[in-house]
Amino acid sequence: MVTDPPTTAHPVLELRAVSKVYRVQTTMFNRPRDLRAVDDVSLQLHRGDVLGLVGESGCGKSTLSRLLLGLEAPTSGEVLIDGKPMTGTSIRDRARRIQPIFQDPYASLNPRKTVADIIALPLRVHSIGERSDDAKRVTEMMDRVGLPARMLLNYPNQLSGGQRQRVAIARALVMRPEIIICDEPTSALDVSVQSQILNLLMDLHDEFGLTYLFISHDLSVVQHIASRVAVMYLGRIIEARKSTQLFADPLHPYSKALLDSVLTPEIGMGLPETNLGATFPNPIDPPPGCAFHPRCGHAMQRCHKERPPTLREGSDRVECWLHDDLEAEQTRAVDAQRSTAATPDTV
Amino acid sequence: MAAVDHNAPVEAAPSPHRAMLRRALAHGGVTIGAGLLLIIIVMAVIGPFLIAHGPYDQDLTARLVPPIWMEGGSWEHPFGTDQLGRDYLARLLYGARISLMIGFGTVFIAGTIGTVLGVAAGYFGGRVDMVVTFLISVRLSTPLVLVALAVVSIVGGSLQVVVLVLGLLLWDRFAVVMRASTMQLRAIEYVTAARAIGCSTPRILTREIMPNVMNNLIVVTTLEMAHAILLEAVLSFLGLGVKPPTPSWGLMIAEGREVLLFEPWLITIPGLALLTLVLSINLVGDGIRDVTSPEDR
Ligand SMILES: Nc1ncnc2c1ncn2[C@@H]1O[C@H](COP(=O)(O)OP(=O)(O)OP(=O)(O)O)[C@@H](O)[C@H]1O
Ligand code: SF4
Ligand SMILES: [Mg+2]
Repeated sequence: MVTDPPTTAHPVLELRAVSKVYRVQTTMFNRPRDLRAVDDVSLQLHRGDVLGLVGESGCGKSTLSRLLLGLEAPTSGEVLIDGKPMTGTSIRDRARRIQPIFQDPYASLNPRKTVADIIALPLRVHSIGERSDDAKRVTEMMDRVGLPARMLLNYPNQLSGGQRQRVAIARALVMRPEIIICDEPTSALDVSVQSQILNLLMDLHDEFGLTYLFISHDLSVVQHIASRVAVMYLGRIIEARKSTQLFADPLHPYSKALLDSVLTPEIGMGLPETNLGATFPNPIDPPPGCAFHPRCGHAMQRCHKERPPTLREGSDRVECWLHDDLEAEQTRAVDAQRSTAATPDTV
Repeated sequence: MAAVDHNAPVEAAPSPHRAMLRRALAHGGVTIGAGLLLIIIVMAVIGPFLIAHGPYDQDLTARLVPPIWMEGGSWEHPFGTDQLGRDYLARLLYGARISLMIGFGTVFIAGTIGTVLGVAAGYFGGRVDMVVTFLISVRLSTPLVLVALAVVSIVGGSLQVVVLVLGLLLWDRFAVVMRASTMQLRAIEYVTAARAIGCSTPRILTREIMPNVMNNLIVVTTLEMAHAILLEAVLSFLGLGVKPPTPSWGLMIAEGREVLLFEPWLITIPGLALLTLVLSINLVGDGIRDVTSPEDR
């Protein structure tokens, strides 16, 4: 650990035991209930990482991304940028370093603005460069994301889905941020366009030295691009490991089920049937013990009552009683590997 | 550098503004309504300069002259004269000014109040929304005409008082519609993107939200303008609107009421004028709602 090079001393972005609880009114007369959309999540993003985040609809992926963007404050826990708490940084500082790319390019561009205005907005808000240079910077950025300059004055309704997503990417990158939070950036697009956009994102990752949190339903996409993968279930990260390891040998029964279902033919059609029988539980009433136990084929007595130990970032781990013993062993192995090799992506 | 995807028609689709203008021109209601409205506005502005008689000039020797299309009518008074011998066309044209001033003045006040309240409630939600929703309920449970009558009878009627009273009463529909449409946009991804860019709240409200709720605002504006014009006519008819020599259409109908059986034109002329004005405003409003395509919203 002493040998870590200075650039990886801090993760560029880190969640420490972060929870987000929403108060929801279920019926008019009941008192409000708590919904733990994100539950005790710890994650680290190192410079250059592509962290894939997968999980079923409603498990809290978008909530997590809003916390990372600083658009919402966590109910408990801490979000840190470069080791400094996010609560201490201004929205504008944060904005210059972290930018989002959203799922639906039909909803993410203001229909009343031209492509030029949309891409130039960050420059104007942050008074970057001379106003007269905006056009140059915008066309430069458009060129980088593969949009011809003749579309400068087009409105979003004049563009295809793929072109719109390129505009959204240009807007996110024009300020040269370090971290991009991609919330299912390809799942609203035609299959033919998906791979173009993915390739573009990966080219830009290398070109600008970006760090990605890449949220996706589509495990095949994640496998393709992510260096690490975190699997989320009911607000908790239940397994987080190197992508190659996780795909070769998933440890958590839920990860296994997800992976098995990848082999079904309809890739890109959202999260496929998991053959898990019981449906996704109501997040307001999560099952006691291990939240996955009603759907788990390996559930034991203690799974019904006791929650498996909380996943801590800093080592590859899994939150499941099956791997309780295995875990300690693995942690030791990883630590050993780290202190000798000191590769930045071992985390 | 990735390749450009060529799978889309780019130059084919017109810009949203131009597309809407094109649809508006092809829409019969908008064309007719806007045309009529334009004629009424032009006549109200320049009409009084084109005729010889003033709206207050009495000529007791020429009382109740019938209009030109009836027996005994003359070009001297194309729309006839009233009981005091005042030229009815002159009064009608001045009355159009009054109605338009009431209409525009009222929606200016009511629109400002309602839009501010509604957008704030829709965007901020929570406590702000609770307060605004409460204000809307209070306003909706207030009998409009009764309150207007009470206030005008206490303070006294004049154009300014009527505009102010109506402006302070007719903001509820603005607030309801602006609240609902802002709420729809509050969590839309381009607004979230603007927040993530670090835009200030006023900037988000004016640049991201307002342009996209404008169509709804225009539709409500037309509805409420027609509403205000009719209410002023009602108040004036009941003697609690603008004060008598002022030629308001409602007042003209009230004054003509006494001789309805013998000189019905005294009522039908201002009545038809009122109908035309309200109808044309409503046609424009309905038309704008129709031609606003989903992708513009
Ligand atoms: N503002 C909010 N108020 C109340 N509940 C919320 C709010 N935002 C999210 N939730 C709830 O939190 C849970 C997680 O939502 P989230 O949008 O993060 O899921 P997701 O994993 O992104 O799902 P999807 O894959 O469908 O996008 C859901 O049960 C959702 O209903
Ligand atoms: S803790 Fe128990 S129920 Fe939960 S995933 Fe592991 S074996 Fe299944
Ligand atoms: Mg989501």
